[in-house]
Amino acid sequence: MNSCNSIHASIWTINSKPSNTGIAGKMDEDIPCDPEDVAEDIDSICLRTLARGDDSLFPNLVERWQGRLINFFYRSTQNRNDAEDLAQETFVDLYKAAARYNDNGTFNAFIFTLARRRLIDSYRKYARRPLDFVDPTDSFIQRQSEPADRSLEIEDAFQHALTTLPENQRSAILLLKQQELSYDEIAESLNTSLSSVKTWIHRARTHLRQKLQDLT
Amino acid sequence: MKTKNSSDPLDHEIDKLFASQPLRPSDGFSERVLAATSKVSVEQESLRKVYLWRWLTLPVAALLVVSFTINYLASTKTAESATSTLTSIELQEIFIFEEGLVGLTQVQDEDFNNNQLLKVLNLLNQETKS
Repeated sequence: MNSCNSIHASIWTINSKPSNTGIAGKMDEDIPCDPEDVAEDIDSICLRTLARGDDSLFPNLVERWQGRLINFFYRSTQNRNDAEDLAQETFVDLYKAAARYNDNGTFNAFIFTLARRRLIDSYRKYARRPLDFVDPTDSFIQRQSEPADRSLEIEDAFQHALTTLPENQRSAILLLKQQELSYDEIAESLNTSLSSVKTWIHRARTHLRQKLQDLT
Repeated sequence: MKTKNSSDPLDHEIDKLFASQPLRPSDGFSERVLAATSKVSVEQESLRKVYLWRWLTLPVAALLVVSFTINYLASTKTAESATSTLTSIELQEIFIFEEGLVGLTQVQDEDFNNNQLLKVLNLLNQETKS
């Protein structure tokens, strides 16, 4: 683990008010800190700076989050174009909502709250189940370019199994296993209780195991 | 928060599949995002200007109304003062007339006593009958 002090100089070149928690709270001591906490604080700082009217840090935030958001949406829609469109719309929502961000919740929960809202809006807009998002040319093109192998078969089966999950279970297990959010953050993003999150994740995992047990 | 590492190979495989990120952002994705957000920024700025104009026009409009009202009241007062001048002249005339009437009432009774008056009325009556 790295010391937070070495990170302090690079972060506090940003014109932002230090908070009592996170990096600022560790300034005076040479205390090792988790890189995940550092990343979380950087995102919070970027958003608070944006809320004050300075969007100079926003491109860095986009660079850090574009892959995660696109893959989150891809696992839900199975369509690259839709995944990128939804990711772009989420970034725009984030830009507009910067002033509403407060330190009571985490940045992870905040951004995935916006992301899930976009996802549900897209389901309503098209009024169809996620399975209908499947673009058969995506996997076809991939199969054309790569030799067929077992991993591809498992990937396809996994993707299909995900799309057959109810939306809440799929979102919950993606946020836990793909995005590595905590249970509390997932509950906040999905606007539900902790017990519901745990139930959904358990059911999702059971479903996936049933679908994939013949392949592994 | 990560779940405990499971010894089950199926769980391990599922975890590996979750961790994989099959897609990379397409070329120009971040540029498209920044273009969209800068457009939002421009829209927000123009909305702020509209709100600012609304806040300015409100007091300006109020100022105009007040100034018109004051002007109107001032002109009305001038007209009223002109009216009172004429009225005072008329009042003077009325006073003069009243004084004249009072003078008439001070005519002596010997000039117009009741007996004489009755005689005159009697004569007039006889003349009309004849």
